[in-house]
Amino acid sequence: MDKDYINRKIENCQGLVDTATSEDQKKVYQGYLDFWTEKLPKKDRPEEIAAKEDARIKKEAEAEAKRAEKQLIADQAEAAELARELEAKTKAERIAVKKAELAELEAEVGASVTVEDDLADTFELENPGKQAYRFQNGDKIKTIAFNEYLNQRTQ
Amino acid sequence: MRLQEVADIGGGILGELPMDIRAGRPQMLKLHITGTPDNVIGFAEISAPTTAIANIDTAVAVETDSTAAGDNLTAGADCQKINVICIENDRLTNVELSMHPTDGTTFVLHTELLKEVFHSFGIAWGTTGKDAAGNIDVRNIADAVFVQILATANESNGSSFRVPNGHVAMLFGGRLTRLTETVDEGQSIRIKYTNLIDAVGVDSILTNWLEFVVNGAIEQYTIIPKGHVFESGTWIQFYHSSLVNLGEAYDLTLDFLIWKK
Repeated sequence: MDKDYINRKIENCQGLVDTATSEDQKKVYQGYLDFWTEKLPKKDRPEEIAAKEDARIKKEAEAEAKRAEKQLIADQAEAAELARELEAKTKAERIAVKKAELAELEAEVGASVTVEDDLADTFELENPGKQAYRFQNGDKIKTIAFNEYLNQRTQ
Repeated sequence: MRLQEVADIGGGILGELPMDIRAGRPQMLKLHITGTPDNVIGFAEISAPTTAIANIDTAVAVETDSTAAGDNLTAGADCQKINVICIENDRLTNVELSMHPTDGTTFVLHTELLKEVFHSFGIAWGTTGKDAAGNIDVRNIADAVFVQILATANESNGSSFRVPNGHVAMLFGGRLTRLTETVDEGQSIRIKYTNLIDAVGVDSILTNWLEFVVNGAIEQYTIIPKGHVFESGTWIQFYHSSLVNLGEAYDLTLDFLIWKK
């Protein structure tokens, strides 16, 4: 395509961009300007247009960099929030596990106490006059005889 | 295609509007087509524009140029000026565009801001001829041609149009006349209309149309009735088909009354 023809197109488009009456119109004309500017090898582009084009590209690149930076900050904030959520979740899970373990232990302890109480009854029936427990300062303590009885059962 | 501003002469054209429609800034779009369908049974668009409507949201400048230097503004030229029927400021408008002062092959950038261009025709000539010397284009700045007046002609392609935003169009009658001697099933005309909803995904299907048939001998005609109303934004195209034989000609006149809602 004839270089003069393209240069005239570029000149017209530049004029239209400069005199556009709305942002939408400017955008359309800028599209036409880019369309024709790209048809010329960079070295052949008029100095003024090339400078404006470079300035536009630079401005776009800066805008893109700013946008990317904002995005990065937003991403980091989101990541931190997610990490916090994960941490909270892990802590809650750990507490739940501990609670379950504790409940299990309590159940086991409760079972063994129940078994000993049953055996104490049996011991007192089998050995009239002997007590399985004695009370000292409010504590329930197994008597020596009952301890021996328990030891004999486990051997 | 011609666009006329209609004076509101009470009891005249506007008196025929149904009910109490108050037509604001009425216009009449008149089409006169002499056609010969290339298809039997199948339908083809009558005088399609070079570039299907651009759907331009924003009004922008357009260019004109010719393939012949003789289409210019000098006294001894061929075609000096053309008229385009287009949408400007959300209203159907006639816009006059001048060719280059001395050389028709040099494109001219116009200051008018147009959204869509539907048709063009010559309106001023020099002393050399009363037709276009070359192909005269109306195009956008990236050189995509909307409509073209061919060399030795005075009327461009393009018979379709869009009802401008905020306007309503009413089919205001017409006549379909047979121009072929042979007596047979004749020709069929379709007015296809695509509104904004149809345009989403089903545009290729002739969903909505009005169909008129003329048959029998030469000079037989069908009267096209008034009354069908097309909503704002509707895209209206014209299709034709021969029912049994190729090469049969017809003459079609159609009027559309357009007014501001």
